Amino acid sequence: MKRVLFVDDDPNVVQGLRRMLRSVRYEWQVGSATSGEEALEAIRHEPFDVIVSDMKMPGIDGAELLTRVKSLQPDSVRIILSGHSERHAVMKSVAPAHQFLSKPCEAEALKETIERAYALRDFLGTSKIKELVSGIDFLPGAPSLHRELVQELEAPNPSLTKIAKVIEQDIGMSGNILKVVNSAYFGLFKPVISVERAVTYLGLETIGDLSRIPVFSEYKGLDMRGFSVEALGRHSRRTAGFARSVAVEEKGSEELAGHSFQAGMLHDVGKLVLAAGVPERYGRVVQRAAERGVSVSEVEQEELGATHAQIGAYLLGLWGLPEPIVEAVAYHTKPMDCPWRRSGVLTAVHVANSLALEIDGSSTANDPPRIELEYLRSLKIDHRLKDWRNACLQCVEQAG
Amino acid sequence: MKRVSQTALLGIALSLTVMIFAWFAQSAYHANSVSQLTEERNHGIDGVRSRISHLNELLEMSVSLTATGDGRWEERYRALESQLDEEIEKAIELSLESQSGKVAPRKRVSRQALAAMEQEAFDFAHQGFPEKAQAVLSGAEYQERWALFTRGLERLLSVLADDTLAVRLKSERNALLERSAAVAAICLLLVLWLTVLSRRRNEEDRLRNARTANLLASISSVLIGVGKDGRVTSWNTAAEALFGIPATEAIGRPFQECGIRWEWPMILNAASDCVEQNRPIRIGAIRFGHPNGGEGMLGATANPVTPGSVDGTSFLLLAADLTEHALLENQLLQAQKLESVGQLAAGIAHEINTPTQYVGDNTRFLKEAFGEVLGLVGKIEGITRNGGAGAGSSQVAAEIREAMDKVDLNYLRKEIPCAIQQALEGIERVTKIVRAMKEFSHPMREKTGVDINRAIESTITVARNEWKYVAEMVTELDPELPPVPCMPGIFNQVILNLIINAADAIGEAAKGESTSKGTITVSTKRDNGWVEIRVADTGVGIPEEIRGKIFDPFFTTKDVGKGSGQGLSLVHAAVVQKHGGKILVESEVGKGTTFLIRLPLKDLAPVDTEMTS
Repeated sequence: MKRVLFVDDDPNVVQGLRRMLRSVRYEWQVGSATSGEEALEAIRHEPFDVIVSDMKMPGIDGAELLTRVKSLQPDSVRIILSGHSERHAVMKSVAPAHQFLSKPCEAEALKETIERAYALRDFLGTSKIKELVSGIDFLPGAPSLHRELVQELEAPNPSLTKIAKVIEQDIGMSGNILKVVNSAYFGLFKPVISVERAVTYLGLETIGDLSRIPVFSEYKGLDMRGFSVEALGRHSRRTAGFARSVAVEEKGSEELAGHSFQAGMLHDVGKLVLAAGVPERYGRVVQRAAERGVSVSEVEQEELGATHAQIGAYLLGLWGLPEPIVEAVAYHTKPMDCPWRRSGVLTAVHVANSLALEIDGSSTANDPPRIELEYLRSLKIDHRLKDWRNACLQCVEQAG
Repeated sequence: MKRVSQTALLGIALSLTVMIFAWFAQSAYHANSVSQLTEERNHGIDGVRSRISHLNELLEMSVSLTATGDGRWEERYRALESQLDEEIEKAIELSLESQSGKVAPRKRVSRQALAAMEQEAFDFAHQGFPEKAQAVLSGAEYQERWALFTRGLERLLSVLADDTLAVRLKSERNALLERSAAVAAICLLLVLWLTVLSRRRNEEDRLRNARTANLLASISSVLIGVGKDGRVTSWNTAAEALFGIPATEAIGRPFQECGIRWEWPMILNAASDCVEQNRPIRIGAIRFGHPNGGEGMLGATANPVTPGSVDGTSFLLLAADLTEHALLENQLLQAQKLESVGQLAAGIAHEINTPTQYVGDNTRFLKEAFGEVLGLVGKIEGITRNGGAGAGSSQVAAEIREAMDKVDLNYLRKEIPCAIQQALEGIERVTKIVRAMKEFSHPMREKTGVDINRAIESTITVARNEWKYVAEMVTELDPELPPVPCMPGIFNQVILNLIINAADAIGEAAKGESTSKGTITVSTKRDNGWVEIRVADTGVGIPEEIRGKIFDPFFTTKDVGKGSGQGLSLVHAAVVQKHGGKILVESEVGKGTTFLIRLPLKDLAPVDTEMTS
């Protein structure tokens, strides 16, 4: 049974939602509360997997409720469903909520969002890591890039292009801005994947507000033996560039190229989550993999119950990033595991990641760089590999 | 030009004065020295004359005595003779300077011939012939010569005497002349100076008048003076410009016929009150007609003029063109309305989004449920048709029951009416909000009879999102209330401001303890010619020390950015100025605040009165 709790100070809203979900009454157990206090009481009695809360309520409001829920039940999926369009209110809830839906919300959209959250939860199984990932509000950025961003924001005439260029180069900050811009508050008809478009869309003022929440921060002292976050950043940038080159080489649309770039940037976000969340444990994982001469993913699975790919995909899924990105992140090491066989972002990211490791050497000493030829063959594109490699080499040359 | 001649005149008067006084001084000095000389001379002449007569007599006597042979007298004779000669010489010299024109007979006053005969006589006496001596002296020749000499001497003396007289006369005549010249000069100066002064005074008056005229002309306000006889006594440039009536046309005409198109009864009432009570009377805002046909707004004051005014003015009407001001004020109201609409928009969106959400959910549920019910009905139909005669058997009943259980008919029976009810409720709420928005955004300016209960309810609905999280709303509206003459747009604004203030005050009080809601009570009631509207809250209250300031523009206790500080000042302006009402505030810190608005039922200051032309 999926346990979903709806919270709204208007009883008509919760009753309506319950009725609307009647068709899934055998799979979903729907709870309801008409105030933050009541919701907290309900959660103390029995855990809920998904909490959907109104934003503005008398007493404990949505943002506060979700913040408290986060500490009570870190692995819960937290969604805001609000009719408010006040920026202030949205800003308050961007951190504790995974997603932000706006009223009136289509029944199907709500169902899909909740279903998707469940699918993702299954993805991580019962791993304790789920709590860690669900508890993440925002990802930290690389100190050098974060400083550059702050500097530009404090400049007399900040340039949006420059801001976009900086954020685009960072795993954490680019992920954060996509989380914010894709919350339903901004009322976008289509998800935004390009950092540049996200920055343009949000505008300076909102980005300034976000930086104060703070959506943008930097990690500190995350370098451990055998693993470097800086190296991870370099590798991600390389992969992003390669993924775009591969997509372009495949005559993919501009959109596909953009998605491939962003997915390439985020493909190892799970490693960042682990390095930032459980640095010592993750340090041991990396060390053990090196000692045993096996892939990091293997040891991750053994030690943590999930690979960094799954963890990254879960986080991005929770944040409501679009399917192709989440899929590419989830299966970038083992594309054959992907239930769908289609050429697209996943293909580009898988190839780019492998080629980047091939060209630069593995970030973790003996992570064997290998392209799954079987996967390419199944898509009948294995003959293109040579062209891709050339394109990527050209890309490296251009970058100097 | 007049000024130049004025300066020249002053120059002339000054230089003439200086010249005349210099002449006075000079002539006085001169006269003094001349008269001194004359006196001296006259004195000298007199002395010479008396000495000559005296010496002549002594000489005559000493001659006759010497002739007797007295030797002592001969000596004296010689001394006297030389003295007499000297004096005669002096007299001749004096007579030469004579101004009488008579000439002294020099030869005839010579004693030479006489002295020769006397010597002859003296010689006889020496020789001892006194008789012979006597004979010489008393002889005809000597006597003749003596007479001749005496006459000559007399003539000389008379010449001298004449001379002194002539000099005296002349100096007297000169003095007279000088005196009359001085008098004439002084008269001239007097006239000159009087002219200068009077012209100067005229000039000063003219300047003063010009200054006053300038002053009046430079006042941007209209200034109209009206005399005791009701005629216009002054009319400044601003009046000329504003009403398009030149001063020359207006001054002297009866005030009421001066040609201005404005609300005469208000003006005349104020004017008579001002004169009777001898205090300035403010007229507030009155409409007037521009010369080009447009309309404007004036603020006027009638000021009494203290008795004794030169031109007989009894009151001055001072008026300022408020058209621009009124426009700005209107724009400010409009801006404030927009501000509140902006603030409300987010809340209204929420108020509409929420019912839309559950109307949609319930309708979708009904769609599904209806499908299920239809399915059930179809099944029952099928069973009854298939079963035919077997209908009613226990097997059929079990099948039907099973189908009913599958759709959870009990749940549907309970929920469907609720869903319909709530969907309708939602629609009703949206409708109510949309209607309230329409009513709330009523045009601002026109004054009509307003159902203020309804207006209050609309405003409460529109602002619901602003108060519902902090307060319960209680309304105690008097259903018997007559229509109140007011401008509905502005009235709504007033109520909105008071409700938002109340909600903020309660929100402030509730800080910290998040569960307790306050209460906002809005009530209306009639009180004779007035309508009372109370907006009471259970908020923080207004501290005594700022209670006097809350209606001041820009005074705010809210954080920067939250309020413009214009809310209550506009409420005050709207109630007092636009509606002739009153606004009072009662507050107790920690307990709450009540705003009481009183609006007149009878419109005392009609804004739409006809223009009198």
